[in-house]
Amino acid sequence: MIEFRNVSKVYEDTNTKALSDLNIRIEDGEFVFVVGASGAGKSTFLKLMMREEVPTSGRVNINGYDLNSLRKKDIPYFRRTLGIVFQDFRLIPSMNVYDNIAYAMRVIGSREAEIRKRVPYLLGLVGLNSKARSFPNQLSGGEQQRVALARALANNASMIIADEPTGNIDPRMSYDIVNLLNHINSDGTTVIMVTHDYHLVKTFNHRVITIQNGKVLSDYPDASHIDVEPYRFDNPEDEVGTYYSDDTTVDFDYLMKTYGVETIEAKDENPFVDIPTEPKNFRPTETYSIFNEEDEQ
Amino acid sequence: MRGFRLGYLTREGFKNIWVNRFLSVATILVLVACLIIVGTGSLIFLNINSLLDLIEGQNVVMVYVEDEATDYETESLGLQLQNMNNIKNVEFVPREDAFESQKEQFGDKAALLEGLSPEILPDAYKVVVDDLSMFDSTVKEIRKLECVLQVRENSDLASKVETIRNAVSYISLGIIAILFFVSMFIVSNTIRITIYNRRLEISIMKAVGATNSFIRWPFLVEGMLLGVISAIVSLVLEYIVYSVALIWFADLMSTLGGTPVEFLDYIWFFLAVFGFIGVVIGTTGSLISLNKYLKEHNNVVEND
Repeated sequence: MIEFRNVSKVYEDTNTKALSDLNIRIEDGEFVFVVGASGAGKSTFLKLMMREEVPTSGRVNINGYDLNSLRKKDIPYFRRTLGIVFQDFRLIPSMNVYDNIAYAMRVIGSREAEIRKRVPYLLGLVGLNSKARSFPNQLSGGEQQRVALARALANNASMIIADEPTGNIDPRMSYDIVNLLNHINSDGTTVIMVTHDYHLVKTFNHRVITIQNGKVLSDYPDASHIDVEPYRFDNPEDEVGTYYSDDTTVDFDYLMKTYGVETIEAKDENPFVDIPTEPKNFRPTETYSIFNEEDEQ
Repeated sequence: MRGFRLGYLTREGFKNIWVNRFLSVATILVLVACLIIVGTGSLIFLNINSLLDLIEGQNVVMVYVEDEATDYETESLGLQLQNMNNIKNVEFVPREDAFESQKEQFGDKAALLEGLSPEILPDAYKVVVDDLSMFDSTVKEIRKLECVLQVRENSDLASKVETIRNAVSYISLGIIAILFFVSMFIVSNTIRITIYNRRLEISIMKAVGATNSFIRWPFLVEGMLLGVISAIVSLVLEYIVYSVALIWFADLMSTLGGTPVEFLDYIWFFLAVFGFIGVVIGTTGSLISLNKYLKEHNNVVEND
């Protein structure tokens, strides 16, 4: 369970008020999308969740840990209850896929026998059994994110925190990643996903918390209030699928960010710009099944 | 920390040296340079010391025995000298030997001693003092003994030798101490670059719940190993450098009446000293940098 009670956070060095009287409660087993514009306070929200920062005022309780009074030496043990997925995957380039996942288990002192059993299972879960010996630079963005997800699941974390996990990957792969998170959530794992992709939010239709100016602007039990079309793929099982979106707008800020442009000086009041409505061809790098037989059991 | 985990972390330390081989080589080069300077300083000190030993050996106190002393008294004086503190060696020089030696020294003019008997010379003891800083007090003690006719000594030479030895010791120790800290500073900075290069790895470790000791151990092993490798490389290079230096150095030493110390006689000493300094600098430098990094980045898992 996650509980933010009247949480405020002020960065004293820059005198920035990142969060202001934030109240959020997320029950075990929920899937929550956290959305909001850049600078809204999402990153600070995540940093408080990971106990990278402590609140200036208010209380934060996660998985039974009172993060306000958590001692430094206990932080690693608290973090072991979380699985963290980053936008930039954060895989160790010098380690292959197997070792990247095993690494998370080695850190907490798991036995090699246990690792040898668990890692192949996780690789199957994310559909990367054949890539166990590949190195991160030999994988596509989507594949790298699936490895990162497998790593986050390695220690049976009760909660997955995904910080824009689809930020660096194409729509089809994004769909698959969230679908995977959805599946993980159906097994009882709490999932908190920060995203800018409203199509995904609409597609998976879970609770949506919108943060603006460091406060909760809205908290809806589903995505019915979001006015974009969900992603649709004509045949997800096809090797070559066709990606459709009836929506004619795109988050320009986000799009630029994916090309490495952090800030846009001048832009319209409306952050959305028109894009052509024609379907875009989509060609995945390989065919894979998101859930293998082992996972289905 | 459980054994199998320690084994894994140790293996990681070994692996990291290869993975970060360029920085490892840089660290080794810095350490080797420092160890060679330390080693060369030590060899100079050892050679000066051996030269001083030579001079010191010549700094003999001659204790002449009274003519009236009986054989028993003369022998008893010898025993008393041997039992005194700060005496390295006592050698009896009978008057006959002294007379012969004088004749040899006179050479062509030995005829001048014709008609004279050894009786004109006293029996003597050749005494070598151990610690030259106590030279004066030792001589004073000898003078107090019975049947001592005269004591011939050169306290001036003794004090000069002692002063030089002390100066060489202090300067060498000072240089070694300065080099030790300079090396540690350079190595800790080199390792800092390694750590900075591996900040992604450290941030991942933190994100998945690694304790600080888990993060430290591979770096510690790496530092230790770099120290050992540097020590071995330094030992080989020092041997080569010293052998080349001896070509010129040996002449100078023989002019002064001494012989240069043999490197192989001190090989274990140098291996121990290089190993100790290398390991201490490697691990301490590693720890200093890592602790600083962990302190600066505290609980950050998302640092770029």
